[in-house]
Amino acid sequence: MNPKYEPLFTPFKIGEVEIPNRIVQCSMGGTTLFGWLEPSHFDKEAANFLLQRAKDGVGLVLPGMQVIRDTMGRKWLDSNRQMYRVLKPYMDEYHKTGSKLFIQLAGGFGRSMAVTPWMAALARSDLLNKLASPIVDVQYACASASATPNRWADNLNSRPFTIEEIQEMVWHFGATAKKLREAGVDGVEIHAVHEGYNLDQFAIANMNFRTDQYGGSLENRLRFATEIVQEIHRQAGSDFPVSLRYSVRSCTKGWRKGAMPYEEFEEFGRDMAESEKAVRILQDAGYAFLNCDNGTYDAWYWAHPPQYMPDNCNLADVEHIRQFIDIPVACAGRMDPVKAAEEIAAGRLDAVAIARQNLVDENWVTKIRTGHEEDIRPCIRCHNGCFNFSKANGTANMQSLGDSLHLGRCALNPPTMQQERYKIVPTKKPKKVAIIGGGVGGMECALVLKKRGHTPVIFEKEDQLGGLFLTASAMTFKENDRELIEWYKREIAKAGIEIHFNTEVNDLGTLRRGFDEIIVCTGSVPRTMPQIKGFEKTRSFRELLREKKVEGDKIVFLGGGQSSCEAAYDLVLAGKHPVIVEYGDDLVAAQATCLANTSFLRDAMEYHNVPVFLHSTITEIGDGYCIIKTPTEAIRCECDAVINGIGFVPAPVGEKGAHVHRVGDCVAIGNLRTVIWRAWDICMRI
Amino acid sequence: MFGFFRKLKKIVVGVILCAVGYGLYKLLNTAKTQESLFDILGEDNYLNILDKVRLVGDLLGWPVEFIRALLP
Repeated sequence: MNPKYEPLFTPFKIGEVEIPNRIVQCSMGGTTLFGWLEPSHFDKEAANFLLQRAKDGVGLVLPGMQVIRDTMGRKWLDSNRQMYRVLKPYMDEYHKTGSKLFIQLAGGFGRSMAVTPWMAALARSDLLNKLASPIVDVQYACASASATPNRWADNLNSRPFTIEEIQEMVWHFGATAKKLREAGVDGVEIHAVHEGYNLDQFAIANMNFRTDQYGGSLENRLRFATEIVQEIHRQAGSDFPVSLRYSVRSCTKGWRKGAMPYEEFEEFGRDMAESEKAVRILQDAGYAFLNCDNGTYDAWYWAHPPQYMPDNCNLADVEHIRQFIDIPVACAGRMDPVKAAEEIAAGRLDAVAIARQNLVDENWVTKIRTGHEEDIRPCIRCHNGCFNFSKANGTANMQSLGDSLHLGRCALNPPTMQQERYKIVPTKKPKKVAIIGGGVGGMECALVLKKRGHTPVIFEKEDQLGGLFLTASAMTFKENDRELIEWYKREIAKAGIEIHFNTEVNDLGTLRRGFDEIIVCTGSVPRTMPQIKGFEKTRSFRELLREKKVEGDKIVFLGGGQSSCEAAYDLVLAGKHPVIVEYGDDLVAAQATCLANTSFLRDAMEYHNVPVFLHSTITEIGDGYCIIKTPTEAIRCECDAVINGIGFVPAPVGEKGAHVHRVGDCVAIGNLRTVIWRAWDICMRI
Repeated sequence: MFGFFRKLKKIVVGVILCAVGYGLYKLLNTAKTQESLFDILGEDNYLNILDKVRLVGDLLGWPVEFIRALLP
């Protein structure tokens, strides 16, 4: 092992429970031991995943958040006795790994509930909600400290919890913790005075207007959280460790408005001064561990930092707050393990909390321990597979039903939480397979086929692997994406896969004799709109980002999708002045792109005063100018270039046919998840 | 008497249908069946249908878990 990682592999204690090392796997929605959204039950897929994490060497594993009262069916978590009977032998098996497991128990979502349109409709109508309530009570699921606006759906306010409901919930926290302890679970984590979840809504003054014992002073606003830990100790024993998921600062400017990492702003949520007092109150109440980051659902990119956020974005705040308490503290949020090890060795931090990397590479801890860190598949923080709750102007949560049922999957690693669906089964009939295109789709196909025992051969028209992803990863903040390309190149080289560079295949007939199967992975080409006068003058993303051929300061993007917004942000960071023209209601208004990513881009454009024209288009492009048509006027905009950001169209080679398959954007424009999962779908069946 | 036999007939038909449905589900889950369907339907249709079938299966799982949770 590289000595720089050694501090990560020292033990520490939470209460009286010894955790074997400093690596904590954060809870992630979908990796819930007792089911996600459906009535609680022992979830074998999640159980297998968590056991595998323990075997890899994670010191403390936190399964996905478990709402203390089922969203569907409304039963309390302590009521399903059969579930605890199954849990006990699982915990015996789990403990053979040496790892510890704390179950995260959640007090609910409150105004952060990611309601879909049908849920919003139920919540707005007392009658419909009442009729549906034996199955799902959306008003209860959204209930909060006070009547505050839902983060997702417009015109929807939470109703306040009654005192009886709060105290009923507190009791059930205690009862559930008792059952968990009896089943062998090592501790619990309370979710959460964190990220603007329900307990955080009670804690934040601008979200809690109560005048009873749960509102007003800081002590009152934290009472729900303090009563929970006290009740747990009363029922489960005072030595049963209770952790708290905690946001040091809210980093929130207002409803649905987060703050940029470099921004001076007035805090709408919890600021550092209040946090310094809050942590002492929480410690004195009995919490034994604080698992920390920053943010709220209104500033989601702090709690689920996408590529645009800096590494270790919460570390300074977490280390600051640690000075005010005696209990150990973990930090989450784009944490670099090397940096975490340094801080632990220096005594400024107790543990590092990592979430998404555990989905991407199931052996990353082992690879660090054995000195093979270059073999770790890097997380690119895309959220396409694990967490793609999406929203745009005027919409509620746009996430597809299939994704709502299955969080915690991974765009880059299909077998994560899908072990039955995606597995490598050696072939009984090895074949020679031609792969046209050496982008991510082609490389993934080659690796899967090789593992199955086939002989893949890649034909790539350029002089390097990477395809369209070379352009997509060219922005300054996309270092993880570039690491991913390098990882693929190393894996392809290790597997000894034959590659023909500078070889463009346009006629599949040339390959049919030498190969049993052909997979076309030729990606896409930019869409065109020749009806716009001067459209031929537009420049491509490739010219802008990869070839660096577009010069000038004022660059106009025709189209406000993810590519345009990311490229515009890159220009902003370079001190340039982009303009975005978008036909629709909002920037990046695509389903399957997480709100954590899109809200950052939207907030960044606003913060940096990037002119954004919505409901608009460009009607003419000339030399040094373009005409922008808004709903009310036509504006002549002097500019240095116009970038074609209106999207892409599939560009397959050859016809479909027997023994000819297609993978990636040449089938339909998607993202890395659609490319990689399709690669597995096809290659598992060849 | 007739009413009893009518109800019994409905129960028997229901049980047979459930058994056939379960049998089809088990058959669909075998590698050989999936390979055949892949060849017959073509990869795009096969994968689209499979996605829909899985979603229906997930949704059907909810009432099953709901009932199981009620059991002692």
